[in-house]
Amino acid sequence: MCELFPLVQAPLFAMNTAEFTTVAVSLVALTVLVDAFDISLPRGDALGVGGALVAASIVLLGTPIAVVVGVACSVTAELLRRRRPDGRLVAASITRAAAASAGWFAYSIARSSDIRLAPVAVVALVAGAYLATEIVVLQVQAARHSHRKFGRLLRGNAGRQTPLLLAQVSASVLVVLTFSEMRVWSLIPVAALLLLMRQSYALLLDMRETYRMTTEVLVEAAEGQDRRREGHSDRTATIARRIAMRLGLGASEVERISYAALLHDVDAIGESGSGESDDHAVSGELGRSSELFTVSHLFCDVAPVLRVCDGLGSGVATASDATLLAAMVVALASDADCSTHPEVRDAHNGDLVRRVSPLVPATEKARAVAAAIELGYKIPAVS
Amino acid sequence: MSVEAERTPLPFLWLSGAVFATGIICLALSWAFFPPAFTLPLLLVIVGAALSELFAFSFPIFSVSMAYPLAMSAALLGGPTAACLVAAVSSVSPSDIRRRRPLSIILFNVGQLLLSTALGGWFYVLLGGRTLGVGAVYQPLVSSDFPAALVGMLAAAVACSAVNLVATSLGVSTYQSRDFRQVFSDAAAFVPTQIPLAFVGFLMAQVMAINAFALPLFIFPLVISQQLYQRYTGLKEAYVDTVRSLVAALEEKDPYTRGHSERVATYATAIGASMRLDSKSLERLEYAALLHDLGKLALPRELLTKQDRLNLAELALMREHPANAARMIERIPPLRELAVLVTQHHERFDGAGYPLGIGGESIHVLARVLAVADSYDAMTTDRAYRPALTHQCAVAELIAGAGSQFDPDVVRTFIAAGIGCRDLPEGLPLRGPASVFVLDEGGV
Repeated sequence: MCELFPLVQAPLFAMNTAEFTTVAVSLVALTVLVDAFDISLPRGDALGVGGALVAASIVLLGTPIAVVVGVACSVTAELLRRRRPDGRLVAASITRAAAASAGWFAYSIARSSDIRLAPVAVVALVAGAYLATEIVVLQVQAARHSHRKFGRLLRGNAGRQTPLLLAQVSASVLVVLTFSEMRVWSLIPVAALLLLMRQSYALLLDMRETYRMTTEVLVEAAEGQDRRREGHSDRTATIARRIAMRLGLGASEVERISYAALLHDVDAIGESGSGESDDHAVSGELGRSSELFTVSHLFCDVAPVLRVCDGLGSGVATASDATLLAAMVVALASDADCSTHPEVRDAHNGDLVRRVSPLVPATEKARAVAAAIELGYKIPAVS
Repeated sequence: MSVEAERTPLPFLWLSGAVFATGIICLALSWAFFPPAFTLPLLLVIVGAALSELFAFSFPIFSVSMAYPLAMSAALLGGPTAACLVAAVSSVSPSDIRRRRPLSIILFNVGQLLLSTALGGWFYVLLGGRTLGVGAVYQPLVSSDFPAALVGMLAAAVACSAVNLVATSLGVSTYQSRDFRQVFSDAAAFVPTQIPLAFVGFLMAQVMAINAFALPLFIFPLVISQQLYQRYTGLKEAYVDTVRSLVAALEEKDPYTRGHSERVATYATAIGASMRLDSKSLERLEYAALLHDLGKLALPRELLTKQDRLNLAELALMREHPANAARMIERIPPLRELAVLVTQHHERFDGAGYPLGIGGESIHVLARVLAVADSYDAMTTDRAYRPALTHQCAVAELIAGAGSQFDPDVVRTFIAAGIGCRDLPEGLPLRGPASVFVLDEGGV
């Protein structure tokens, strides 16, 4: 490899020692600032925005200093966030080192090439290599963490993150474009742009987590009326999420199924609080959870799933295959939890699989059942 | 930010005229010192500003568009006049014409945007910032222009945002007859976002001066930021509806609790509005009211519907519900601050309440409001152990309890505001000690 191109490459712009030091310190400070408010998530569907600055540093500082700087920034930011090293620190460092190495490799190729690429083209290539590697490594880590298939995870999350990746490539190009005139001062407005992107994304992610937490707390509160049901909705949501991920469904669909699983028993909570076994618990009587969530904007896409779970024929006529599949997953998850917690079955509002199964097409049913069996869940016989 | 509203009170007409006139004067003065050169980059910025209004996102009292960074960009390219022209073009949007917005509002928005961008531009040049335009040619900023240019940019961003904030708040408070400080604090939440936007505008100007064809590089970052922020505000606005739905769903099955939290929220926010609480406090009150009985959801149904007097053990269990609710709410980070309100909503003004036994001013004012609203609804709805009282009987009970169970100021506000008047069946006669206040047609 050393015969093809030298791995150690000089910075793209000539700088004296003082300026080089100033640029390096500024890049470190700004990267730590942006990284310290990182918004990436363990499930790999949200990325931080600090990569744009690290990619720019590969071009501005040359290699391998930039790789060291990039990893150091990541470690520093992680320590500032969490105050102590843990598994995420190691994972973040590996991600940053791998991505920076890919950027380093791309930079070496670009500089050694016989084609004289413009500085903006060089940095676009470097940023593209860096960010592509970052997203791949993050998906590998997320796949291991959540036991999902890497290929499907990458397809889903890469697609969703493409606009953010392109925005970061744009930011890296802007650094280089303005550096020739403004030198180190060009980093400040670009960092402002990245912080703006990060802020918007962080607000959205926070709001989504708030919704989830609120729903979980309220459902849990209601389950307190009947001790037999305690934890059932949350466990059902966890099982449903696993089955949905096993099926390779996208993140938004997994979230929809998760909410549907959390809310599938809301109408029945408290009705059999007397602790006695109810006749309608085995009769398959229709549910009403879907009627209770027609107003909320957030649950407007969850309500169709609940209608199918409630056994309402009108809900099936207009339901898409995705909705029917989602309902089947919720039903299987609920019954899987009942099989391991017999006290829940006594209190449960009917056998959900028996109610939902006739409404779902055979192909969707088979897919959901296969995924549940692969995960080792005990499910009832499905016709 | 610009003002959105429906009626036109006279004070606002005067304000609108004055602001518009001031804005025009600022534009004229700026033109005299910095005559604009209508070059292609500046025209592109002006067109961009006009188009950006199509993608503005609206909030209850004002709207924010991407014209702001473009105005800052114009300030760097051509000085205060160029910034004013961009602001003027962006101040009238297609939605203004479609909705036939009153002329006074349009003129106010034009005036205050002219004023704020002119001041921003003037701050930039006066603090040493160099404009990029030299005749028809643009010379980008170089390192020797810094840090003066950076100081100028920061000053311009702060000045423009500050004037815009004050003017918008003044306009809204005058138009809607609201407290200026309350409107100001609501709008001030968006100012921190405007400072980075200003720097983005300056960066756009620099890029245009270097190579105008590089402008599309800003598309992805800005569009993403705007879309994400819009999705966030959409979710935030829907959050209270979501909480209402969930609480209503959980209360639905019990005829005695059905709709209780929703009504308490209505009464509590009405009391709060009469007390002229700020919007943040009203929001907290609304959420606290919706969630105040969360702890009861976990209690056995037999306890909640028992017709006889509760025994000591049952009473102890019932008195745990405020603390239980607070524990649940503390798990939701944005709602954590409500835990204290939910905990204290059964405290008595004389200190004989539960669970903490605190009294008087030690009880959070919002918890005192919640106590009155909760008690009023409890009295005017059917319970397992008694039918609903009439509004008059319930008010008499509130008056009887003022000073002992309830905060007298809150009770006075409740009565004076005429909250809760509705047709109810005749209830039981008055109970309790002699009233502290006299209730007549005119209120207390």
